[in-house]
Amino acid sequence: MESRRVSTWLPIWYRFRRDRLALCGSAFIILLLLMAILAPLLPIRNPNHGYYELLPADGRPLAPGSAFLLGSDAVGRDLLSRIIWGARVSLFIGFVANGLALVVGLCVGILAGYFGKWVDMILMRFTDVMMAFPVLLFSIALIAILQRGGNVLVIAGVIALFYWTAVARIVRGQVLSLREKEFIEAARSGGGRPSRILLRHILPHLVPVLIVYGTIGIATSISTESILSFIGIGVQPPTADWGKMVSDGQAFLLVAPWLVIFPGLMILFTVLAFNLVGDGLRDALDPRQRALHRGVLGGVSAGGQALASVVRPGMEAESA
Amino acid sequence: MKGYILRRLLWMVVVLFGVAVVTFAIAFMVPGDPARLYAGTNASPAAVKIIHHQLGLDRPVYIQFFDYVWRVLHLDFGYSYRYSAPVLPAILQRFPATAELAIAGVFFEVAIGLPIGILAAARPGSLWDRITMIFTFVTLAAPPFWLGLIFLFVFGALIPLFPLGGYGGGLPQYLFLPALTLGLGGAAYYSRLLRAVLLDILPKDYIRTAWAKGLKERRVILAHAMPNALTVIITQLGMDLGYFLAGVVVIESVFAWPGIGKQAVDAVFNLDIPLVMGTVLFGALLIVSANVVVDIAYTFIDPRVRY
Amino acid sequence: MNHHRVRLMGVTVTSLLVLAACGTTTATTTQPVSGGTLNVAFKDDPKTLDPAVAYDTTSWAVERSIYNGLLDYKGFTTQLAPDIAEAMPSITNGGKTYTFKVRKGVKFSNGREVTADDFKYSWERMLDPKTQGPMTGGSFWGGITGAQDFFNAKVDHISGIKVIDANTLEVDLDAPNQSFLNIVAMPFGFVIPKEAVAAAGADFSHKPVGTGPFTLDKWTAGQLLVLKKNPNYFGKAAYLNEVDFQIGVAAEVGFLRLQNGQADLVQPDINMPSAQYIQLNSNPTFKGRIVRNPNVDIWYLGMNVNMAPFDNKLVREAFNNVVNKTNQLKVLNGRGVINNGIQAPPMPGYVANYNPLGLDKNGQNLDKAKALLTQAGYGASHPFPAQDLVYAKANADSDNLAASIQQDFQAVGITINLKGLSFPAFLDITGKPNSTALSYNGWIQDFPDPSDFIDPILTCSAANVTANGGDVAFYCNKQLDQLADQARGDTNATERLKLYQQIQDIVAKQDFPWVPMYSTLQTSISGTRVHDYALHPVWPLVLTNIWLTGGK
Repeated sequence: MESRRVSTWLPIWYRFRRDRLALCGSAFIILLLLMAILAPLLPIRNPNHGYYELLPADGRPLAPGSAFLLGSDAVGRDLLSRIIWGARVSLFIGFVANGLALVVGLCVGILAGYFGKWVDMILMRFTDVMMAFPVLLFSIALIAILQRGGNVLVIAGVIALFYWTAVARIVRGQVLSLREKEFIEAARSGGGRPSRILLRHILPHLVPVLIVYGTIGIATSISTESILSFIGIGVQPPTADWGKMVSDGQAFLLVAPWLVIFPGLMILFTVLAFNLVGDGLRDALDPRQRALHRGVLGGVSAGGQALASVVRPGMEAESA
Repeated sequence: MKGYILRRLLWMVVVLFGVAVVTFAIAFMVPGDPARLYAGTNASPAAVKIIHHQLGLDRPVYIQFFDYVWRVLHLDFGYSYRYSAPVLPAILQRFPATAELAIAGVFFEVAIGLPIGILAAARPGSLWDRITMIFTFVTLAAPPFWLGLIFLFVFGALIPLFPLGGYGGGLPQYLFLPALTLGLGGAAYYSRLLRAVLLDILPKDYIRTAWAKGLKERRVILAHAMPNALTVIITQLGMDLGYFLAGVVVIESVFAWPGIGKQAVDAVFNLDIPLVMGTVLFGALLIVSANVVVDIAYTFIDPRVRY
Repeated sequence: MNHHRVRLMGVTVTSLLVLAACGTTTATTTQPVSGGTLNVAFKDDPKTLDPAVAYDTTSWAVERSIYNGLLDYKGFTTQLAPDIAEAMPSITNGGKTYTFKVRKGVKFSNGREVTADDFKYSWERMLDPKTQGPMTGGSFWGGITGAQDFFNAKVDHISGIKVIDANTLEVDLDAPNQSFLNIVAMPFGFVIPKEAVAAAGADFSHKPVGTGPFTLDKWTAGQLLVLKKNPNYFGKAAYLNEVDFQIGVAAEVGFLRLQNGQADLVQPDINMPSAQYIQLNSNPTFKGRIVRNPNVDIWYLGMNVNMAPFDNKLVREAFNNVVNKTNQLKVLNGRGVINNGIQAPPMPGYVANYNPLGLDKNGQNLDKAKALLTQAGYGASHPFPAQDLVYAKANADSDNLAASIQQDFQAVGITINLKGLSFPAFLDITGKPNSTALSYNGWIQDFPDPSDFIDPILTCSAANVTANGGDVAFYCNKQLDQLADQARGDTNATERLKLYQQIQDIVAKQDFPWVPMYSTLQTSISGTRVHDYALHPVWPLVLTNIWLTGGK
């Protein structure tokens, strides 16, 4: 068993490491994770403490320089510290939202694909309903209605609420095609219990698609979270958050452009890194499908919406 | 095919019913008494009670639900607290601005995305291919609100080429920056999609035949490969239009574009939940309709798909 | 906390006023010219242009140019003057009966002449519960004889508003009220024609007819609102031909537009955000174009006296020693003064450098705060419970101000969580009894009379209103109420101010429902082609003085 696993994963690693962009992305993510985890131990200023005494009389933010490496904001907080601490929020929400979406999407997709008939019918119509909503608008409405802006788990939950549908559809499609395969047929006719077949025979084959989706999904979740924060319904101040930092800084664009530029770049690099790694993983995990899937999975467009729309309702049954 | 169209229409009805159930459930979750918001901040408790009754908030839930569905069927999407007016006219009044921005956004998507995709597919692995693909990755990763702000800063304030946000009666100079910001992400997406589809098509037999006939490269790609690639693109465009029209929330907020997305975001902060949910419902209606239209159109565009 | 803001320039000379004198109007050397279109950038649509309903400065900024009332303020002062009234009213019956003479020849923009009947109609409509306006049920106008019966639908008309003849209107009050004429001058008192209301159906807001210097030409929600000069205006005609309100323009964008010449004014009822102030104040072209005026406001933390832990007076007193008010003002670029009382400069009754608790120059005394908390029973074994600070998010400054408070309380070991809400949500949650313990509030005058800083926000009746009373601390002291009643009708100005001092001491030195923090300086700016733009001490925007270079 062990040797088989090695022989499965090693070639993937060999293929993956040929992709220089994906390697760069991985390095960035590792660095970012370390930074986020170690933030409390790093020799940096308290991200939420305003050094009012260092600000000039008119309250103008301090430019990058000796006092603050990346400058300060309008209440004398250290931008560098806030960017480092902001990574914690983004990554946490990215991982949690995406984890929830994967679990829910996986369950729904497997159930629908494996049991078919009315189970499939009900679950897929429900998925259709969830996909029919304008995602970002509905997320904003939900958070506003819950009046729990600021609670990271609620934000992650709302993001997951709309993202699982895409996972469910992909998983269902995979299960549908797996179900017809001989080894599954064999297991079923051999009287295997559904739970056993699902766990032992189907789940392992879903791992590649989950890994790829999981990686790109983190990018989508982080991107969505930054939009929610930018609009003003994300985490509460003074918690450092990249989207919120851009939002607060936009007023100071002409006076202190660094307040907008640096946190925005962090969002860009982070999302880019996860996309690159996801892309690299896909190529490495499934080289034959490269051309076909690159287009389908390649897009995380504005608001993370395109991903949810790539599989059209009613189409996959015909194409499967 | 008739049967298929009927099936899709039935699907639409089922999904829209589901949408109504979800939106109603959410409106029900709203904390605070809607009657109090409706009555205004200084209304007396007696006035609130009367309005509570007028709004039917004292009836059983299921009756309220059927009443809700009935009203939606009669195009009554609710009543906006902020504007003291029905929701649907408020949405329809803002809708042309959103539609205009969405169409211009799609224009940029296509005008930028397709040429990049074609050129990249024509020389896979070339320097151009690699540069453009990295460019598309970066564009896809850039947060749209940030990109919009940077554009405003550079092309509005530093080099004042364009107005600094606003609608300006829909004049092209006002439209340019928001539409570009909106279109760039999509352009990157479409160029990747097109490149992938073309790379899939180009090795096919009929394309090889075209090459063998000694046709020029441009003609092979544009006349023989593109028609097939376009079906994929058009399908995706139809899908995107639904999303676009449902409110390009972020772009409208950054550029002060008076569309339904900005109106809905403002409504959130005004606690005008009926207007928000009305917009959500309106957006869902558009998306579902766009889905069905694209599905049906697909049967005409691509006769090979059998149903 | 209040959603309207009106300013007063005033009676008491203060350091703020001296500051304000430096730049109240834009100096001009040439003669005014008529013509041209003024572009004003607005963030939001006016909520409504129906004067019976509008109670926010954005609406008032536009309404002021469309309608008139019986009284107005003289020029850019806080001195009341007749407007549609021929003269100031005669006051008889011990200050309870007011007789107004309506000026002849004043015409609505539909051509009909205004009579006393129109005022009776407009005021009763404004007070009618069916109109669903904010004055229904009491508030400022509730003291008119017969108003309560009218609110309760017992009668069809208010007996205290009498039309004597076509040009004479008499108003009877239940009790004398020194601020009644200020109330008459509020936008709720504007006159509108009955036939136009009937013709507009439910939509008078979009089809307004008034007597003002401008008329509404076009209003596309979220985009553009156009006012055109009223050729039949009874007063001095405006210089401008047209005013275009560009709607949906956030302040940040609005100020950029102003610098590029795409806008001439940015929503004057909203104070300039810090970022724009810093930038424009260091721009040589615009530095001199900034105008300043006291805002006549007080910003304070409200502590709900009915909710733990603020039901303990020691805790409330401790909180009064914690906030670093200098830091608060630094977030606002120093545009304001520390205020440890309840009246704002330059309202009569304001006391400069009032410091009843002997706080330091930042308004703090941390040792005293810690001692009081210990005395209240809090310490290492019984830590102070974390508190939510509820505040309204107006712009980036709001979050920064709240974050500064959070930091101050950290220094005495108290955790504050920030709950930023939209303004309506903020009003909703702070107005309900027992729902908000600690909130960040501002009160801005409705009219230039000290009663406006007591009656709507610190009295028992303001705490008892179930729907959004202005008393966010739900503070109720019968002794204070008695003093307030006495002061409201007192005709001796000196005695009256003494009563208001007494009230200020009760609040700031004895009961501590608030942590008073500061009063601000209003700043606004006009584009380079604008002349004679000035901030009015009461009105959010006055357009009649403004003219443009070359009349274009």
